[in-house]
Amino acid sequence: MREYAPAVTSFLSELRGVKVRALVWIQARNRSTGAVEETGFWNGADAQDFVISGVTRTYYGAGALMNVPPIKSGVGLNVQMHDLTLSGVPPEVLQLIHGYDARLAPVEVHRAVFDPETAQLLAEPHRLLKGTIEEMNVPRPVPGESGEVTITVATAARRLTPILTINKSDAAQRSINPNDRGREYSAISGAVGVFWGVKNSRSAPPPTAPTTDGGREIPEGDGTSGQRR
Amino acid sequence: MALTFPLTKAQFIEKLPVNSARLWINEPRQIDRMANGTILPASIGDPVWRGTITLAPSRITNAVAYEIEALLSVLDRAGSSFVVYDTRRAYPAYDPDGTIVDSYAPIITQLAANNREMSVGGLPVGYTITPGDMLSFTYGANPVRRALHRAVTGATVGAGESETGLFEVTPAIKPGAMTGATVRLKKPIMKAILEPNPEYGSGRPAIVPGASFGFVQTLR
Repeated sequence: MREYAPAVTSFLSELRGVKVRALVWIQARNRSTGAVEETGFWNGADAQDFVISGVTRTYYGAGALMNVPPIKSGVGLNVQMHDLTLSGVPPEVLQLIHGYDARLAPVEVHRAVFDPETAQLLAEPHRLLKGTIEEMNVPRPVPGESGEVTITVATAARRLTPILTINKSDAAQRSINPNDRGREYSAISGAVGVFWGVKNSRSAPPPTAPTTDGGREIPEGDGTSGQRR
Repeated sequence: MALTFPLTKAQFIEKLPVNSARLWINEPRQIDRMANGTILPASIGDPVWRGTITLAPSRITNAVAYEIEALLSVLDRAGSSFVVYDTRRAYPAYDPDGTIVDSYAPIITQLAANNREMSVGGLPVGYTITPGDMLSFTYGANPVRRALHRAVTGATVGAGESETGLFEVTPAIKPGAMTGATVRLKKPIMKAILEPNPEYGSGRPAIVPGASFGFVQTLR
């Protein structure tokens, strides 16, 4: 069960009307600088700042966030998909679509509870969903109808679904440590026969050396190497 | 000269021969009704002013009707907006032609923490905000937001004081409103966008039926 802040719990128990808003926070990469930049949308009236985990975030309103679906959650490793709907008109949304690279960008959805009488925020917004952008559909609307940008958000369990790569290259290993030669011959691994204590009877021609090899010779069976030991 | 948006009062709203007008504000709500009739309301959006205006019919030779049609077609576009005031109640009840407030510069002096009450200063002693009076002020930047409110409770500038007491307004005052902002009591305005597809352009023998259109407040 979710634990609300004391102010929210006591407010909800009074049952005198609810004013709840959804907040969506997206951390996307700037296409021109590569830096991670953050943008937020909420279904309130205007741009407003919220302090979340000690950081002040600006959420843009005025209809930018059209709809937040019911958030599904459950025990287990199922990946839940949620479709958030934004209006395609506000400049902040256009910046997200065209200015930022939102592929796999982290998304957080918070819920803010207000007192409907005074419009005061009761407690720090609590988080409902944390995930990454899976898809972003930008339709071209029919004249006179609304064109809504749908963002599909996958929950964090999506990270568990990519399969591991079967091969790792020498270049990948060198990007970790340029002196690490552990995968130097991985490109030809399995293609070159290694003969232990027998005469080399291989008939296939040796494979081509990878170009990143720095001119080192590939050990190949030349009739004598088979007798090295 | 090209028009700039929002169209000012003199450019649009003051030209209209208003036949009937409506201006209202309500909060979008989810309303769950229990079997015994109890209503459980929840706010699902913030309120903005909406309105409709129907114009008086005019003679077919009247040039004003055609000028308004041209303006409506300009406003029925992306990017255009105009300012609106309540054509029924353009002035405070205490000051029905706006002559008193003309020589003063009212400002917001207090904003209560409950976002529902404010007080106005810079007014002469005895000046009264009557329940139902409209007032507007601006806040924020880029773009400047125009807030339109209506007094729910009244207040008067008492003897020896320079401001009214706190009085309640509707809708709730939005975050960003600052004390010191200039208050407009005479023809208080908001920025509005025309609802798509206004009714205009028809004609009958010798008569142009009045155009009718709706509008919605915009904060942008």
